[in-house]
Amino acid sequence: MRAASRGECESALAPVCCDVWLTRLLEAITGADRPVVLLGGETYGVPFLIDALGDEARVAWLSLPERVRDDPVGQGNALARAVNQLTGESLLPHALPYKAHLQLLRQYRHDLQPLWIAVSNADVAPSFAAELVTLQDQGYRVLIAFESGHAPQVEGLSRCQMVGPEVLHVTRDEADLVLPAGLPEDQAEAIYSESGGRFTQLASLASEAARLPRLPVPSPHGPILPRQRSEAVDIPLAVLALRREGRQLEALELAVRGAPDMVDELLRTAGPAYQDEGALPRLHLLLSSLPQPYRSQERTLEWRFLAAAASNESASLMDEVDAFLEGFDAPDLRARRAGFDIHDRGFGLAESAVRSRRTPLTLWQYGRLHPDLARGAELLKESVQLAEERGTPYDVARNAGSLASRLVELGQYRRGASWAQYALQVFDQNGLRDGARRLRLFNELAVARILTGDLAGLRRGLEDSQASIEGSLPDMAASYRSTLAWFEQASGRPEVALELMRATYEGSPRVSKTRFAYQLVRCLNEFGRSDEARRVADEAMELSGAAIEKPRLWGLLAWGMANTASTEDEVAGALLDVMLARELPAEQRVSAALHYLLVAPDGWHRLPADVVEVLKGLHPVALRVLSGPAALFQRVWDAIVPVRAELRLEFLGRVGCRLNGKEVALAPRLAEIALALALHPDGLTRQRLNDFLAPDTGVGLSASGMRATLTRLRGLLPVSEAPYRFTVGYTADILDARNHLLDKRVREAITLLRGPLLPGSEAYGVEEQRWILEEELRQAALAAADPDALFDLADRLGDDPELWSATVEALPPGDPRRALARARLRRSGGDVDPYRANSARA
Amino acid sequence: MTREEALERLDGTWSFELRGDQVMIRELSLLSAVAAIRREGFVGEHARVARPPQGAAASGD
Repeated sequence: MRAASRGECESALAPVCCDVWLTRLLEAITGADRPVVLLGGETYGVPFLIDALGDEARVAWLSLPERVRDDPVGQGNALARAVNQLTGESLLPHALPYKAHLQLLRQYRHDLQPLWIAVSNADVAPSFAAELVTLQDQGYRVLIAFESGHAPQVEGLSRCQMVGPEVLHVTRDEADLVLPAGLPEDQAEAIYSESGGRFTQLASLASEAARLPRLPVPSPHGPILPRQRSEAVDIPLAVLALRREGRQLEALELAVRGAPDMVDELLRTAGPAYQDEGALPRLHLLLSSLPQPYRSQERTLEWRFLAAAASNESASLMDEVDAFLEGFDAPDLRARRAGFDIHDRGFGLAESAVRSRRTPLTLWQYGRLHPDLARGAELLKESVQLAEERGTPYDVARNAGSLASRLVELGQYRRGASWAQYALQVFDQNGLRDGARRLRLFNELAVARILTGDLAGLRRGLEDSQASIEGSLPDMAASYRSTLAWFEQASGRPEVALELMRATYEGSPRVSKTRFAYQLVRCLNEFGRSDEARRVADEAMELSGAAIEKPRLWGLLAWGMANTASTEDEVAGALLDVMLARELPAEQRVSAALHYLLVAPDGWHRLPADVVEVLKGLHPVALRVLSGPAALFQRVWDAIVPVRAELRLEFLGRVGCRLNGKEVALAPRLAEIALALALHPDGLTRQRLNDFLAPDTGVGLSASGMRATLTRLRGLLPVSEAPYRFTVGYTADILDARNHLLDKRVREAITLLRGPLLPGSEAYGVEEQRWILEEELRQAALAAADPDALFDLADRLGDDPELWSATVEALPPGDPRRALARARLRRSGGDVDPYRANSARA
Repeated sequence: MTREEALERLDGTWSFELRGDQVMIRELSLLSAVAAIRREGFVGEHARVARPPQGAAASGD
């Protein structure tokens, strides 16, 4: 029987034939209607099963190393690596707790599925495995493999289909196919008996009996030797090999254990790798475990200090660091130390560090801590240059990000946006992984872009980031919510902005409440909810305390903004205090200035010169974000950005109408007529207007109906007799969008497309114009090949293979949106390189 | 954090199995890298990476 079947075997695991065993188990796994848990691990051949599953389906396979035990960030990194390897893109960030990845996998399910997520060596992190199981409810298939023969008692795993050793076990008949043909029966029996039906051992013994090369075991990182055949290697040699393979984290770990004399030098590359992977807490443990004298070498001490800070334990090293700095220059260590000192002393240390040696780090810290913000910006710019010449890509991204942040603080939003964009490019194109840093950079970019009125390419990034970190990184999530609130305010969705700011304010600890209060007050003012605004402001004032300057000023700002209806000098005084506080970011001082001008319209002369400079350069969108509602602030805004027309109309994504600064509510039919008139400045006859308004398959208004409707419109807006047209100067967002397109400003045009033209309208003319405008934008975006504009438009218009294809082409390597764009292209039926059919391993 | 505390917290999380001065390796790609370094002359490369301790602080562990 063995001889007859052996020749027919087509197993991918040749020379060992295991088709029957594999087929039986793969059917059990793929046929399960629940997540699958395999018990018994490598001994029972689980790696062979997962590997074979990868030949049939898309599998992201990760094996958890021991070092990620109790480390949610390390577990997240393993998951990200597996999924990114499968998609061939940097879709999931590193250096974030795994809950962020689970959230992103839920969000991207339609783009990633069908997909199996397989975890081996799950014994290291049973809770992580149990949470992965929930992805099955989102349409993923989940396979969890434990080395142990028994599932751990963790909530969530009990719902799984358990496949234990009794099922994984190779039957005697199946074993006959694994063993070499022609093997004497007694010898076959002995091998089977020795293996105990455990596949890996059986296959290994079978290879030996057939005098074939030893059978490697599959793993996400490539083939490995069976455990009992592992080879002993001198530790320093293994450290070098790991380093050569680019496995910096493991190289350093092994050196810490068995070659401590190599650690200080290895940290040159391994330190940044730990930082980039969000693994500084583990580095803290590793370096703290070093014996003397190795733990006090200069570079080791510097990384110990940085790693301890990441674990909030820097205080325990201060004395040792200070003692070291008394005896040695150690410029980089000195610069790191400077960041932990009170301002003057910290700046002094940074100054002495940069005097000792100009490095990307010392110059960065010196610029960051410089008390003169403008001079600090110059220094930060120099630090970027120096990092480009002598530093790592991480140095460049960090320094450019800090420069962007400083420029935003100074109110130089356009420059800030450019530097934030550059920092992100460096980050993505060099495959940097520190997800938390990337989130900060993107947030900085979003703030700067919103305040320059450039919203292209922001919505998806802001929404996805915010959703992914809710619950795992609360401070960062709050920052993202407040930026999203600005974005929504800028996009004309104040109700969403209010909801976001309420959640941010109410969910924040005391000090942060004060920080976010003025933004919540701004949102409440939009809806005239003055009582609630005053309550929030009073609370912020109370909670801020008088001792610390910034929270006190934030409280004052919120209070001033909430009380602009009052003409008391106290309100103007509070706002003036905030305006004059140079330590505050420009947007807060400008908010104060705008509200001050509402209370004291003749108070321009009291505004500080630098605030006036920022105000005069502000984009109208920024004015709307930082102050409102328009009914109150229009005259303040007009004094800054003169209005050109008496009538302002908005039709994209919503209906908006202001006549001489006053809001006019237009019913849907009247909005359709207003659009028709806006598009025909020379006027429309009744017949042409009726043609425009008629539904695609129906008839228009009767003569009397038309007359009545126009009479209603004339009661609100100045419209002539036939041919009908507006009798005052007007502007409209659809016309602005077309003007932008004529001037090849496609980002600005797409920013205006907040939604479809008069959403919900079925009038023939509206539907036609809606299609024409989208096609105009589409052609312009394709011609400009601007990645943000293309992504936004493609995301909005849905399944458009040409747009998605152009988006894939335009997005730079490393941009997380590329994976989504490729998936959308695939879903929309476009021509895309398919994902690799076999599994990704990480 | 003392060395002892760190070692205690690291217990059970090491990525490698050690046997005396050696580490047990299973990955074929890593063993290939080891073989390549051996061929190129391991001692020289090790000497370039390892540095004698210098600038060590006088304070104890």
